[in-house]
Amino acid sequence: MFYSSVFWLAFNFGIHIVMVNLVIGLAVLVPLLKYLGMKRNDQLTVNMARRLMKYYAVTYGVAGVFGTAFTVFLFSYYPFMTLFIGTVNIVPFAIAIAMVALNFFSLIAYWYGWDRWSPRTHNFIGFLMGASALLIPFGFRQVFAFLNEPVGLRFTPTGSVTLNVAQAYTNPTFWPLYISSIVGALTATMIAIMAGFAIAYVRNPEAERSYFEAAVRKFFIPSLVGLLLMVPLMFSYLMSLTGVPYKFNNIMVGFGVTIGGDASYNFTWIFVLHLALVAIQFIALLYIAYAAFKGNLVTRSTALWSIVGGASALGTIEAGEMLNAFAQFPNFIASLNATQALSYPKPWNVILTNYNNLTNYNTLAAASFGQFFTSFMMAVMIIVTIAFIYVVFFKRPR
Amino acid sequence: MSIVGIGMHWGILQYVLGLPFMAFIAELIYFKTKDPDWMRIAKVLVKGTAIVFAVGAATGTLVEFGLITVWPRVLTAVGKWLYFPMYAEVFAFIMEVLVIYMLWYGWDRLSPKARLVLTFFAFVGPWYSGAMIVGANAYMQVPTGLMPDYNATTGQWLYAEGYPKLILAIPNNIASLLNITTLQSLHVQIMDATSNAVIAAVPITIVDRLVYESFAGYTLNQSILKLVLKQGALSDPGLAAVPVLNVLNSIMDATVEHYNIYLYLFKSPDFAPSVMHSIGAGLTVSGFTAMAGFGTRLMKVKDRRYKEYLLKAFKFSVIFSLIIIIYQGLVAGHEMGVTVAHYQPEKFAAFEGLGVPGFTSIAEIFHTEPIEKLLAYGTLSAHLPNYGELMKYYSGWGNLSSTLGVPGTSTYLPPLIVDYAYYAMVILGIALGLYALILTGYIAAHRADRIHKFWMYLLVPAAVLAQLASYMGWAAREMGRLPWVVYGVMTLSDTVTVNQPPAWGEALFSLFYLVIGAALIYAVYKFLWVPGRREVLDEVSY
Repeated sequence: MFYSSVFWLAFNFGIHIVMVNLVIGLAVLVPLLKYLGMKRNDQLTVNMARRLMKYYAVTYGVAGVFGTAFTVFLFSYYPFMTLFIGTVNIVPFAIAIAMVALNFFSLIAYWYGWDRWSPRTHNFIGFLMGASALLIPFGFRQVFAFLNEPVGLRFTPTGSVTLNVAQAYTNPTFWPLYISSIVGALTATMIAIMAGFAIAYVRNPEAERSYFEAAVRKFFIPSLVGLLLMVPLMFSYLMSLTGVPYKFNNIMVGFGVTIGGDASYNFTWIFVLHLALVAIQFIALLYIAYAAFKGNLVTRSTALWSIVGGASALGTIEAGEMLNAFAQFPNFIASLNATQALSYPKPWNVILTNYNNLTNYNTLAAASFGQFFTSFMMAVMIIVTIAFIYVVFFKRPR
Repeated sequence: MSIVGIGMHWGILQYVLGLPFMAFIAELIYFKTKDPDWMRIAKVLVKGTAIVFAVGAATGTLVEFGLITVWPRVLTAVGKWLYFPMYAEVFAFIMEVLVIYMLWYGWDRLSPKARLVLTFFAFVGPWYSGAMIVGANAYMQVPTGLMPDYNATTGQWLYAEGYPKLILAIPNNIASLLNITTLQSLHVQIMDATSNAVIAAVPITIVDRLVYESFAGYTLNQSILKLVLKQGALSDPGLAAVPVLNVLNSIMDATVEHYNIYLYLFKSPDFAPSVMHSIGAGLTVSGFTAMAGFGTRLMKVKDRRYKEYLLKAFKFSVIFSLIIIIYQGLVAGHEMGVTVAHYQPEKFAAFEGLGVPGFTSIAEIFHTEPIEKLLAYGTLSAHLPNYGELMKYYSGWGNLSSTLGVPGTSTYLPPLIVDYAYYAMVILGIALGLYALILTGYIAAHRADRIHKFWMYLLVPAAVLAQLASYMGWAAREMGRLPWVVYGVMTLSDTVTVNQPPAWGEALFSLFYLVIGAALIYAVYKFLWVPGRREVLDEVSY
């Protein structure tokens, strides 16, 4: 059955999360490149950092746009679960908010202040930019872990609800999720950077050759290491989900593996897709290694394989996030069943019994004109986004 | 924390409402005159917009998360019943982000006509976005279907008759369970009926109580509703265990559908005046700030060509500011005041602060009562709501019925400080209007480059005072609604999170906002003010 509420959440989240991964990766890599370039007196690396900074700023903007849209859809379609999640997770949200703001300001200061701050100040701002980006998911991934299993949830005798934050961060799903998010973001970004310079090289081989070569030389080994690390990290997160059988079963049922009962849905195909995309990245990197071994590092074919690798890296993020989200469908909190929800004190028993369910959406928000309006405006938004990217990156100055 | 956060956001976003509109006018003048200075003026204003917007968007995102975490019940209500303006707003926000940055980053790649089109959307986007957000705030001031509680002709408060009331649609399946006689004794008026609901004016004490019970997890057998159910209705255990939240959802869903899902919020009488007044505030603050920026630079400029350019920009911002402040005071402000007087008499009483022992209100000092009567009600024979009189009612008002022993809202008195906030706004507005008039006089006399230094030194204070006037208006508007968050529906205690952040957390976040504000000021100085010191005119492509 088609649920427009689920579709719009998935659509916005799907775009948002890919952009966010690039934001995290670029926030770390851009200041690092600039620092290394300055230290080694390597102007090409500094130029590379500056070019990537512009992409970072635009990626941040697009991520913010779709993230805001996601939030509005969330509280419009699911106001009561937003109430519960917002009330309980005030600290993880506060961490994420503070880091989003810090990242934004360091981005602005770093971008506008390029060549205007002293090198030391600029590097310090770059450090803040990278550190804040790495800490944004420290807040948000805790909320995701809570939605796997509400570890740290506390009810007071007065009917208040709170989160034992220290205990919440011992959630078995948090650390595997957080660490794989960070490693995944850095790895995907490095592969995407190689792909980006590969596209530029294919379009303009003369001018871009040195950039493409530098990108591959700098990021090939770190991205291969990252990709190798992602395999055990991915399985570590999967194993942590054995404590959330509902979700684990929906992921693994296609392989004939379930824990304590049947699966409700079969999302194994997304997992297979995810693995296939990881495999394509390995193949792309191995081809580039083979070409380099043969002394043909910068060729059209290595560029094309870089592009394939980059597209696969972004696809891997998308598939992984969709798998993680859909595997708990239709539950907001994957591990929470109706019996547990009823045992909670009021009003949370009422709210969670009724609304821990993505199929129980706000019908007012799903009314027909609203759907038409949303679809129309979303189409306009995508067109304007494309125009924005064209004007900023491709249109030549007059 | 919310005052600091939303206040900071409001202070910043006013420039996003005003600067692109000024840029649009400058570009129109460019098309008329073909004078490249007007394109330069537009470019500076767009640059200012881009810098300020970045900070505005960041603080807006913080405010959004603040609503989720600190005011989750308000956000729940907004998401559930007022979702459409929020939907519409998000697209407006997206339009702002993309268009403003496309305009700024693409400035040298776009033709003047393309710039004009984008600048048009660069101010329409924030106006549209602002209208949606202010729409939600307008509903919080005067919910759609509100029947006010004061008769200005007689000077009587109508609490004894159950006012203020809210017109709601009660679905037939709920209405069929209710005892009409008991409802009428509680001042519920049956007004109409549709095919699936009964339209009734319900005292807000009942509405507020139901909202409280809903969020506190009450069931029907624990609710005040059991008092108005037909005899024996609760003998059905299934019905007795129904959460009040489900009943409230049904009533509010039916009410929203009755008024129209998409127009429900826009039918608040406060919507149009609030939007007019808010945009007017943004334009006023932007005008006076631009005036201060261009004028202050004009005082020190040496290069002749640069001076010519600055003089045009200065004259433009002076005349713009004068026109806008006249509009803001005589049109938008007047409409806003009339709406407050009619629909929020308690707030109006606090504005005037009349008849309070030991308190001297501004209205009493300046004897403005006749003017207020005439402006608010159109007649000198009207009676202004008297705060001192109002105080007498609050010991008993709020209890649905003492015999039923039902607790309600125990007090509803807006703080008297709004009297000072309101009159500070009015007095500052008049002073700024006179100041803009004096400067316009110099321009009319072709003496714009020879304005007396005294007036020029007042440029920066005037910009600060324009912000202060706006803040005072905002404070009067928001504090005058207390203790309600949504008038007649939710009080502060109904809405704030049950999981209060610690004091150090609030202090830290407030400090964070202040640092953001300081960073913005520094960014404007570093990236807008300092480059202008070179007195080099930007190249303009045609």
